[in-house]
Amino acid sequence: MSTCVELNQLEFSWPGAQSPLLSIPQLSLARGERVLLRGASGSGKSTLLSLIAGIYTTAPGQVQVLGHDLAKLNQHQRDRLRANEIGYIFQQFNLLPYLSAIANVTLACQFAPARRQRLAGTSINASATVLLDRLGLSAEQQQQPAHQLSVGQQQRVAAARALLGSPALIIADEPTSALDQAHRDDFIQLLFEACAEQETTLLFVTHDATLAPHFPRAIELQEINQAAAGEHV
Amino acid sequence: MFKLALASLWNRRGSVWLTIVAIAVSTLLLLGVERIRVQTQENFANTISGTDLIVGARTGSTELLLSSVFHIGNLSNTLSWESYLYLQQLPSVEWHIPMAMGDSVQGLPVIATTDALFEHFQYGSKQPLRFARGADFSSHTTPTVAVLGAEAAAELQLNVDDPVTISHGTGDISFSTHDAHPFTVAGVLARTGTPIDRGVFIPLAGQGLVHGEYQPEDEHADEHAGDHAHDNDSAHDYAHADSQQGESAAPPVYTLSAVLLGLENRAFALRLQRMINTYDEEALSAIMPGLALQNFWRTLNLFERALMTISVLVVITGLLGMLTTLLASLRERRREMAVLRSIGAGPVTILGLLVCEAAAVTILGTALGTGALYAVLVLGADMLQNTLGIQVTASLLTLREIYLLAAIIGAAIVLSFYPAWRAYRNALADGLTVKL
Repeated sequence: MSTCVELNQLEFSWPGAQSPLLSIPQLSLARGERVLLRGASGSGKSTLLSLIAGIYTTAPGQVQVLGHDLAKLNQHQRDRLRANEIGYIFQQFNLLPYLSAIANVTLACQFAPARRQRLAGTSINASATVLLDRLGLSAEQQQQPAHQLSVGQQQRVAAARALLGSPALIIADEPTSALDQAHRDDFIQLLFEACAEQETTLLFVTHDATLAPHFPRAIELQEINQAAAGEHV
Repeated sequence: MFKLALASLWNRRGSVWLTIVAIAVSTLLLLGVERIRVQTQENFANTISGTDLIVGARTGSTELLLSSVFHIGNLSNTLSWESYLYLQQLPSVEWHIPMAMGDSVQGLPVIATTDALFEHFQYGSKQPLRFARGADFSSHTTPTVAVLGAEAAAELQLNVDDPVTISHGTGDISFSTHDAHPFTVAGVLARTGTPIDRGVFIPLAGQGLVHGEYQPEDEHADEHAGDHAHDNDSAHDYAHADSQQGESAAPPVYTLSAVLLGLENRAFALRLQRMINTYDEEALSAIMPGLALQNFWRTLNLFERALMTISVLVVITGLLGMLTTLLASLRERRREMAVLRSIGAGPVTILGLLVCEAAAVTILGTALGTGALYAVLVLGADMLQNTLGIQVTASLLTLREIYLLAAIIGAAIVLSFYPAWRAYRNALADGLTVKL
């Protein structure tokens, strides 16, 4: 099994900060793996995700995604890699409220030629409909503007947008914190099924330790982040 | 990307509509001012053509021009019949149109003249006057006939053979109306788009009659014996032919307001002008209408430029309004930007998105403004013509107007780079974590 994300001697601090926020000696996620990353609020979870997504950069060699050293790619190449290979699910307010559910889903593919190719002949709209059907949105709901959907439905639309075109990695940043427990478990189950089908790596970030039993692998950020460990001593 | 920009605009359509309307109004104003400016200038230049000299008593050139061509104002000085006879015999004079003004019909100027006006007067690009209905003075044997300009006929609701009463003085309500001498409408002129349209034309003898200066011979012994007319035989003959009062040798009126001269050879104009200006018997002024019109237009230029400046400022206000709306929307749209970033939109895409939005708003605004302009031109042309005397036509956009529109859109796009750059910076700084 090849690696999807590889962190090596990652050091990151905000400009002007005294001590580094993140200092992670080693972390690797295999392709198709489902990983829970748990950390308290403010522990640097979102920053770590931004680094993996290529929004911020570090020194060369520290972050590799699908074999690409992000620091060696330029802005445009990183945007392109993110568009093609990373699906991102936010905590909430994931969608452009003025677009319909289906338009939100297909939007991602407009920026990602590789995703369009992977749809292998079927039209973007048809694939999006299939995906939304599977995630349990009625045809009527699919045409509604996103802001008319419930939060649970919005999260499923967001998941569909992240999944469409089989990216290699899904990053989910507290996607269930706005959902109640029943919806949360449903949502995670759906996400697992879809990821398994597409052999997509799932990096699921949360502050909620009770989700850990769902995942084959759970990582505590504080345990791998030596910067945080140092602070607490 | 353009579709996305439009969808985003649609989402904020309340405030966007206001911006579009603001831009539309400023576009309407700018184009409207430009159109009125150009068309007024054209109307102006078209009022008279083919006339080489306008002669009046010694006065300013603008005053003479206004009264003889535009029938505005009242010349305090007049030139005598003798001077008119003198003008006729000057070298190279091909035709001459005498004009005596001062009376009115319900506020419309009455111009006493001869049939030479209908024969020789030209406007626009050397277009002659045409009769829409009826004919000139010579169609009637009495001097109490009138020819109406197109607009005057419409305003007075008169047609051929209707009676019309001339009042003394130029006011709407006059204390002395010449009720004793009702005039008959002999003809109505076709529309020219010049002040001719508003004129009521009567023969010189007609005016002489109502003012008591002229008495037809068969009624009265001629008190004002034509002692001057004998000065020049050819002029005498001409006056005979023209006044349609062949049996009288007396001048139909004592004084004239102005005389329009047409020359056989335009090259004589300068020489003639000097001869007339230095005429010993009476202090006269001769002006060349083209030159005088240009001078007059130049004095109006200041006003026109002020108007243009104001409309440019209004356009700038409209564009600044759009800039404000865009900047204000950035804060509430940070999350939208983050979502776009997360699905792979680069900062350049976000920059482009905002520029697209600005372009869409401005293009819609200018299109709406142009549409409104044509609506005003089509629906309001009559009102403009009647109330302001401005004649505008709904012609196609001129090159200059297209440049103006392009300048508005260009300026909007340039301005939009500021909020776009801000959004670009935000997108880079916020990344995917927007704390709201």
